[in-house]
Amino acid sequence: MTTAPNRDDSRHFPRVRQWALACAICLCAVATATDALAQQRAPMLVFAQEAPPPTLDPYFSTSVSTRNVAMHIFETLVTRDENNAIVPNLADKITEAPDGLSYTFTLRRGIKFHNGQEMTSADVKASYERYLRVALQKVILAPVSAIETPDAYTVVLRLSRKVPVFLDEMSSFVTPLAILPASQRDREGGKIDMIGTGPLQFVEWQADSHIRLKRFADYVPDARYKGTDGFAGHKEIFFNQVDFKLVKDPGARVAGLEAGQFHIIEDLPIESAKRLAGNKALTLYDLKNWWLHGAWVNHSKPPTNDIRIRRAIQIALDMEEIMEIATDGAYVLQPGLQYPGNPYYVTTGAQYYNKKDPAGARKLLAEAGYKGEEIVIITNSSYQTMYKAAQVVAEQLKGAGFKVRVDVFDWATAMARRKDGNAWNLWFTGQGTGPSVGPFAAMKDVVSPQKNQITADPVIDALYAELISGTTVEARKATFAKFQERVYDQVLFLKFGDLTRKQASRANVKGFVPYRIPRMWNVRIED
Amino acid sequence: MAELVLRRLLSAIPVLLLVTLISASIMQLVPGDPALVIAGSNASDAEIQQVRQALGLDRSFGVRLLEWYGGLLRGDLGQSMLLNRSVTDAILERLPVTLALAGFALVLTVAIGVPIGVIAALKANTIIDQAVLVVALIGVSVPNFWLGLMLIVSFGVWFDILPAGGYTPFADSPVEWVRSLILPGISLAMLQIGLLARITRATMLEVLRQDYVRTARAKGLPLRMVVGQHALRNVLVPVVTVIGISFGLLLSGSVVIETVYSIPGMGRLLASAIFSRDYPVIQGGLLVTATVLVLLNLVVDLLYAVIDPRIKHDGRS
Repeated sequence: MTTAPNRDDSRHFPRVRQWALACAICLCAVATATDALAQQRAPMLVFAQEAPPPTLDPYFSTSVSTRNVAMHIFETLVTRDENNAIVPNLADKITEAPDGLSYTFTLRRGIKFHNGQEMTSADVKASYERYLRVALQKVILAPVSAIETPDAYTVVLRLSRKVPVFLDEMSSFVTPLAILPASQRDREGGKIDMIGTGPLQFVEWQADSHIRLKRFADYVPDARYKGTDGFAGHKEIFFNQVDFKLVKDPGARVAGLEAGQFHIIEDLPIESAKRLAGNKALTLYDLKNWWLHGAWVNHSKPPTNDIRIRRAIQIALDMEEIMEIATDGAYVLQPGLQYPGNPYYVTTGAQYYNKKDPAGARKLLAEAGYKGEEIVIITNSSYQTMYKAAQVVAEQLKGAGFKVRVDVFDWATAMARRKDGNAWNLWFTGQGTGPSVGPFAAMKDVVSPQKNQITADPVIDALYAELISGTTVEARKATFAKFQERVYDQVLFLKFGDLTRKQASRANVKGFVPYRIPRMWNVRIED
Repeated sequence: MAELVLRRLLSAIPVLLLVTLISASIMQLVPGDPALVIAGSNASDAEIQQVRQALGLDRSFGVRLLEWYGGLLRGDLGQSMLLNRSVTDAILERLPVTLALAGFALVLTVAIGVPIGVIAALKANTIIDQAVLVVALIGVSVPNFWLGLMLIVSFGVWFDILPAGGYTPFADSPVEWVRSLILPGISLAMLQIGLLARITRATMLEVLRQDYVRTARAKGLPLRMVVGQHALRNVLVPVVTVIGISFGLLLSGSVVIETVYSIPGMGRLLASAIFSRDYPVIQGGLLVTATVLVLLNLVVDLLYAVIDPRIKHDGRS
């Protein structure tokens, strides 16, 4: 009789042992890999920024210092890439209706907030409703008549009128349309919980000391991008923690960088940049086109209410001398109100730019019957480039026959004085974020009701209305060319030049690419 | 003694209220709008108005001031317009830092200023005396922000033996806490060391000329005993006055050093609040600072009675 062979226990156990051994090896491998990955991630990155943010609520501030931090915590549906083109971020797909009266956003799936909840269309709707209520730039969503959420991953914005530049506006990073959890909908401005979808999550904010963020473990980098790309891109954080140290004094920032206390610093003074140029322990960066350096011109207060006086001021100025002294050589001279390489870059009005003609100015003053009325310049002590530019402009104008008075205030007082149309003729400033966002934000301040020149200019108002309703880039560019020409022709703004900002890091910091904000993603420290 | 303390505390209340009223009124006269600071220089009038409403700035100054005093009675100093926290929390975070820095600087001031002043007096008109006077002169002449930057560059960067800035709380690491206070403490203390050394020297010289000191020396007492047991105590009353004033100056003068060294103290808080027109922080911060100074004066007065038993605070002395 043949019997079926029995399983021999002594042969069975070795197989079990083999499986157990294999599992153990796998577990060890995973643990080792995880540990290795954690070890690749350095404990902390320290960035020193110059100004404390007034708030971290992205809806409630236009400040750079807010954006520096907030754009690591929060994200938007659409944003800008490295070349300022509009790109999707939290949106997977964007569809504009043929009549331009609605936009459908399909959301990326599996996006988590820092509190663990998944982002859905309800959160987008609540965020936009809050934006319409409290945001400083809620005018962006003013054309939206309804926000529909047909399903958990679809948002439809219905517009009351066609706005060809709607996505340009939505992707603006001046006051970004960050997506917050629906629970934040009824929070007042500046009073939200710091919960976003960004690669870093909020830990603490010790005012006058630091803002601490930590890596968001559940962040899923956007696979559509290969690396750093504007405010979008493939974002990976290689640190457990990122500290934004608030270091107002530039000398202290530089010293901290040299001593190794800081890995990256914002705004390296030019004098320090020259001294540190040969320091192999550091890497210096040029952030070109940081802002348009210039001055608003008051069209209501005499004598600059006279176009001949304004023209005389415009042609008298030597922009090279102004920018050289104001920025210690960190500048580019070009007449555009957009930067070269930008799709809307034009050079109309260049015939008025950098004329260096004090003789011509004197002739115009004589024609205008100038009797020595004072030109009041307002500048501030908070931004040295503006302060120095004002001093140089004052001397150049005196050389051309003007009587000039320079009033220097702290920044808050200077801003308040600008609102008084009887207090100034020239008000010194730097136009930063606006021009970098695009032509619709570049000189929006000359358009009513803002009209920084105090007196409304109906022609510029009409040109702006035409600009934002142009249906193609070519049409809008043509209008912007006329807009820029008008700014120069009527001397609505005196542009001096484009300021280059200097930044610096330790030499072992890799992957840092200067941008409108200091991006901490894809940055590593190499030993 | 208890009566004195109570009397002084009660009399301080109207002083403190006056400080807050004056500071609030002055800030209203200073141009500048916190709503504009938040909204940005290119904000439209509508945006600025929206921020003003959110911050409650659309109400009159009188209403806001009364509301603040009402909160004060409940121990509530109000909400910062810019820091996203209560004024009380903001101050409680920073006051210990400034007190630590000023206290450290005071220890340096007394530990260095008094001994070198005594030595200079004992060695009057010698090279040692001249050296002390030169050191004192340097201390009162050198701007403390320049000294601070030089110390940062030398010890923080070149030699890399002390932190170039920042502050480590005591609870995080006592050793690092001390290290983070050394350079700013020296920067802050130099001026006061110079002043205290000179005053100690002058007072000691006067005391050494007194009959009882001459008698003690004539009796053969060692110099150490004459100075330590007889002269020094008589020097201390004016010196303690100066130390009290010094601590007040160290507290109020910390803003520059805190800025240079990026120390999150009361000085920086107040300076930042003034520049950004954060009215509740300004009022609350000045109230707390004035309170500290009032208490400091009281402590100094009480110390007089300890040092010199002849001094009584009931009107008889």
